[in-house]
Amino acid sequence: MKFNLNDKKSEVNIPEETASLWAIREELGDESLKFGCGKGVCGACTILVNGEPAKSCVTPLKDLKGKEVTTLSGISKNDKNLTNLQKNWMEENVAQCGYCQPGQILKAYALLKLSPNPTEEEIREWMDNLCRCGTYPRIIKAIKKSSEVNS
Amino acid sequence: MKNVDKNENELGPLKVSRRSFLKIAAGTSAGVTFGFPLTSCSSSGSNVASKDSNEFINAWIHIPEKGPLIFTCPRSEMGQGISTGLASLICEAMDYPIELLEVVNAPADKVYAHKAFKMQGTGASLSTSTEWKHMLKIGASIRATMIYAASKKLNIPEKTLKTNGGYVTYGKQSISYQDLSKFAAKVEVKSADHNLDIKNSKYIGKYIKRVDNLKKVTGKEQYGIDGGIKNALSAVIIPFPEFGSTPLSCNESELLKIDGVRHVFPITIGFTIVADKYWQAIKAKELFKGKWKKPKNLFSSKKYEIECKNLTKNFEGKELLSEGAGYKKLDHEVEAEYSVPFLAHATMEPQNATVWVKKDEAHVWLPTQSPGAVQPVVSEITGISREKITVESSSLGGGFGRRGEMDALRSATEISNKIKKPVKLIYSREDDMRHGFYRPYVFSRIKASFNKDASDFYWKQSIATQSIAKDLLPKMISSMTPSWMGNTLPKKLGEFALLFADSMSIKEGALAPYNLKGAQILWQKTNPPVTTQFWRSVGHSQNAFFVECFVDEVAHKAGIDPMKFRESRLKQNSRQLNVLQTVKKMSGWEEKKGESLGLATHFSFKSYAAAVIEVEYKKSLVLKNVWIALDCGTALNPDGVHAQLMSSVIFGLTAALMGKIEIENSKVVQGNFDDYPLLTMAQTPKIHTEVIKSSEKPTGAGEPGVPVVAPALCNAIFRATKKRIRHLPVSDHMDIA
Repeated sequence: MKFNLNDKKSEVNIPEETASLWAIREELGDESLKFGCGKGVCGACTILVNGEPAKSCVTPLKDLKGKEVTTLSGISKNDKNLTNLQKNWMEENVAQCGYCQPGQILKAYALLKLSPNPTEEEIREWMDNLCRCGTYPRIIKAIKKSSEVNS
Repeated sequence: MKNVDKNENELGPLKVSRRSFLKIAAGTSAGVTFGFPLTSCSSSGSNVASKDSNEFINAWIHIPEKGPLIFTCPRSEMGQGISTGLASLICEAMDYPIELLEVVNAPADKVYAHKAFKMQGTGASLSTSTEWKHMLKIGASIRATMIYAASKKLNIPEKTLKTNGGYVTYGKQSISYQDLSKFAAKVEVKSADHNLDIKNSKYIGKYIKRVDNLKKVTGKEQYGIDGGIKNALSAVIIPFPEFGSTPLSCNESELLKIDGVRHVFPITIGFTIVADKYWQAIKAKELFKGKWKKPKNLFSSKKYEIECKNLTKNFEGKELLSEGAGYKKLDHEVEAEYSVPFLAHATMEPQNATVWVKKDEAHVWLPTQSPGAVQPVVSEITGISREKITVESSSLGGGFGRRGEMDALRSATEISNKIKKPVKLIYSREDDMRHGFYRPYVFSRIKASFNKDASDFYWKQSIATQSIAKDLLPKMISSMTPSWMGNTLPKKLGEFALLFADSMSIKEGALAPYNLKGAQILWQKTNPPVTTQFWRSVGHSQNAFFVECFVDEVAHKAGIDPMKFRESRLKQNSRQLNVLQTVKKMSGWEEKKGESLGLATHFSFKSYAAAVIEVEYKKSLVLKNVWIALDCGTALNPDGVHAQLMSSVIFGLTAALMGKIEIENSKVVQGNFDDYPLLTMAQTPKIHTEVIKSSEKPTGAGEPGVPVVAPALCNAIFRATKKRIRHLPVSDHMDIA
């Protein structure tokens, strides 16, 4: 199975029904995406497939064929060139345990691409990833701060 | 260290080592390492070594010759921000920029033992209050030693030297701590103190960024399921379907034919499948067929609820608490039944453990709140001596009490012990939720009697529930006792301790603080087959709900505004009254005349909390606003306390609105986030937090916000709907938007 992972040509040769979560973590060594529920409810495993958020624990590997796949490891070149969103995430001290945050950040990243100036209502509706530590209010702040009008 | 302050006698002598940072951060350069063992440990500890020993690993701060200073955080970081809090104290006193500091998790070692628990562990919202002075002293002593080293090296009198952000300065020149490190390793370590002066602090009491931010926004933070021991095989478990059932046989020959599957065998809690990769193991698990020996009596939580209710009918039980003259019947009397369900911790990171048992040594990679319990557990299973077991702590994807348990570690150790290969065991979400350790179900019958204006007020209560201590104490004691005691004696000690501590989590926060004339609280002890564990805020999680809702009922019956009722009964100028009046003001209680607002206040973990919640009911329940205030003494990291309050509100709302674990035929019904839902962002109300400014000593912040949430919510629902919710969760009684 061939696809691009974070702009790099990648190939995984395991059964195509395998969940992309484990294919990416175990076969390609990118562990930024997390295992939370295994049935597409929590969003800790969120990845972007051609820019659209997908829950990789229920996305079979075959769905990635020929696509552009992005994980949190791929949205910034390195620690010195973080996206605005990541910087504001740090500024607002959003993360607590941090386990759901890769999924949250990717989901927010996709939102800002679609809607550069989201209203709070839009943010609340779009951001359906679960967080057990209760970081939602700060996630809203970080996204608002990263919107076009505030950047 | 000479001149040890008598009040600080928990600090032992400073030790200094030129050794590189071998066991904590391999690969860092040489330099100087400062370790500050506790006296209680240094007298017996094998890890407190002399200057040149190879064994020195109790490092707190390492100053390499090049690169950032490294701080070994002794408490588990599970989101609460303790690594940031403790780092800020050290950096303040050491005069080093916190943004440059590198923080690593402490391995398991008795030098990191918790002063209150006497073992290495994190919980009870005690980390800041027990460590803050220690951290300041470490920082101040390192700064003083750097100045001393510079004065010797440069031959300049100490008093002309100052420090500035990691440099010792003299006139217009400066030398970095790193450049001094080699020299500092040779000089005597100086003891110094740092007086807390928030006004002139750089970090303490100020907004600071979390030290783990960068790792957490770039996906580099390593949890238990990440990294760990290289080339570990992947294991899954198929745990007992019912509490108390045991494994008999399974279709192992069929499973072993599946690609990548290496081993299938029974373990204590069921079966395991070990494969090269996790995706292979979960595929095999789908095809698993097993036979089990079922327990004789099957447990049902519905039946148990009725049993608990009946046990309290005549207000009988062992006396837990009594106040004044006990209970007396007056003109007015109200009685009510309350209950809270079993609850799961549901950490976002499912339980996991990575273990490599070799012939006579073992390695562990584990996200744990109790590093101190790891070596005793692994030693008990493998027979390997505790000293030969190395334990690395990963970051924790949530804790809330669940990661004090050693269940995943036990299974992973059993598996690796059998196959002598490194194994990473990861629970499925269903394993995690159905084979957890729960906040117990608690039934509570309360009556109050009072005169016309409720100036005289008596309280009687009977609580039916199980003991958490019964599950925990024997395990805790074996972690706290030295290895020469073996395993039997600590268990006996645990049983003995239970006689005194059985009721500890049941009575905390059970007594209403409202100037009762008399009170009697009784306990009917039950013994269901359900395993339990501390759950964020422990006994307070149910007791604040019982007390603060029932007090509302009494106030309502007496025709008194619930705010005024509490105000008039709390001591004048008390911290609890102040925190209550703070949320009164924040919420606009008086202007809104209490419409659809509910309130609660509670003292726990030595901190005072109060909340007002606003709801709206139109066909379904809508959460509008939460105002919450906390007095936790001096807030050393106020932004962190605000975060914990927000977190407590969302955690508390999740539980009160929809948290419920049910058990049918001895099986847990709920299995994943679809039937054990968490509050979503869309459902989250506006949360307004306030941290009381105080110069009192720091107290708990991670838990005390939780208990007030359920009662404030249910009191608000009563005002909005005239419906009194006495049995959680709310979703059993109405729809939630």
